[in-house]
Amino acid sequence: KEEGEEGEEEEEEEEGAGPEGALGKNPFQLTAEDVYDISYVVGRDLMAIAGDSRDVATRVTQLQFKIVRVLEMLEALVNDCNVTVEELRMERDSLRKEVEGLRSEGQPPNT
Amino acid sequence: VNIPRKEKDFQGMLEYKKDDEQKLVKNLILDLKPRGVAVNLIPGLPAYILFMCVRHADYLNDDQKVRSLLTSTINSIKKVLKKRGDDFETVSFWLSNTCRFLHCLKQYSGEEGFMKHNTPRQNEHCLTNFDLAEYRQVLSDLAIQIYQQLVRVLENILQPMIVSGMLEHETIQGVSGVKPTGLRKRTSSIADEGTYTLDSILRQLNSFHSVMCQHGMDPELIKQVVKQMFYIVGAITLNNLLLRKDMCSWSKGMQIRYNVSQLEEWLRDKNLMNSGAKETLEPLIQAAQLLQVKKKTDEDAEAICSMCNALTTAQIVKVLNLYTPVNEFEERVSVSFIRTIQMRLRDRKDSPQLLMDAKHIFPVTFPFNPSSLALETIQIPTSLGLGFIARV
Repeated sequence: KEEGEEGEEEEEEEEGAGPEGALGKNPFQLTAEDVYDISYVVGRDLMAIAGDSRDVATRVTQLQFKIVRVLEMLEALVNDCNVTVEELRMERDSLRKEVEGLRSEGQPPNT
Repeated sequence: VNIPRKEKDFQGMLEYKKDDEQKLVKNLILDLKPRGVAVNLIPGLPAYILFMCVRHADYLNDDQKVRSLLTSTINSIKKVLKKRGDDFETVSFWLSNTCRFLHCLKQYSGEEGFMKHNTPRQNEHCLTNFDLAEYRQVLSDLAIQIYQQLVRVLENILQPMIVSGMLEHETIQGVSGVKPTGLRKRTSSIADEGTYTLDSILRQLNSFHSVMCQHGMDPELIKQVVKQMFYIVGAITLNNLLLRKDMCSWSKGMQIRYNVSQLEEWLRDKNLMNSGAKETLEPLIQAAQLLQVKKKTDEDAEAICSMCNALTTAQIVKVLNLYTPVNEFEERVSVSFIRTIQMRLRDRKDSPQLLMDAKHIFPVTFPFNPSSLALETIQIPTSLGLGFIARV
């Protein structure tokens, strides 16, 4: 019962939190869309740090492109992970069907 | 040619082979998704990259290459908008990037008027060979076209929500004297119509606003879009008020004022009180007030005439004619009272207009908005698939 309630709360938070909400998510439930939201939030914060100082701005930009790379990697992992999970799920389901099919064919011949 | 130089040596230009131009606009414009890691982290990135390509062609003094790139750029943006022009995200994305490209062409034009906010380093990055003022004009016209398309798209999304969310759905319980189920019944013939609420509208506004922010759209442009959205909400709501008897009662006035206050709250929350959006709701606000004030004595008539300066005589008279008391404490508006109002407003030189033009689009402007971004620090993210262009 408690779990159900927590789930609901989380959903509400997500709706209200906007792009920042993605950072509060369970990493294994992350989607590519969440990664894009994180990109936006981090990019915005970086720009705010740069402010008016040239020197800082240059260093921030260098950092920015490293973060782009890290997020590109994260995006690839999230996408790949979702695909893998889906593939495994399909494989499992088809094996399960096969087992059921074999079982319904009757008793194994040797017993 | 491909020996990578040290970071500090880059001049903020990008080089590509002429044969790769089609591949460039394909990956950077035609196939680019408006949502992705790189474009979300650095809003306007495609525009900066395009401008850095222009810079190198200018540096080579290759007028043919400059012309060809600019033509391909403009045509590709048009092509994307033709193909996915009904998608708000796509249109917003290319409006933002077209504006950013235009700002770049100004900021680095070498014209003094556009260089005021540049750093010395940025001034070194100005174009040296070609005057692209004519292309800027073409791009500015393109931006106007994209803006109008954006307004059409958001209008199509908002339109079905407005009557339901602003007028039909009861936000305040127990003032109407009409049971909400009665209203439901009347509208249930059209599926979904009864399901939109004021919250649906606010959520939709949030979503529009957040997409434009993520695309790094100019704050001045966002203000104009928001003003246009509020105008649409106000005009459609008022027009329905003027066409439907069941919408002209004291309690509807109450509800409209409450809904308008929520919209104002949204503007305050988003720091958009100076966008002119609130002012576009003035006719609707006055119509709602008109539903609520007393409508009996000469003093009442005078008060109405001085209060309703954003409504035409035709609109005022229409509301008074449609006014329907919902309970025993209210009375019909007498014919003589309406006459009094008409007499008083006779000297007013206003239009005979009854309905507002809900399709009206305020003329848009794109004030110059230079960027502090240093071109020499820009790198090309792998995910853009532009490995064939080189930093110079």
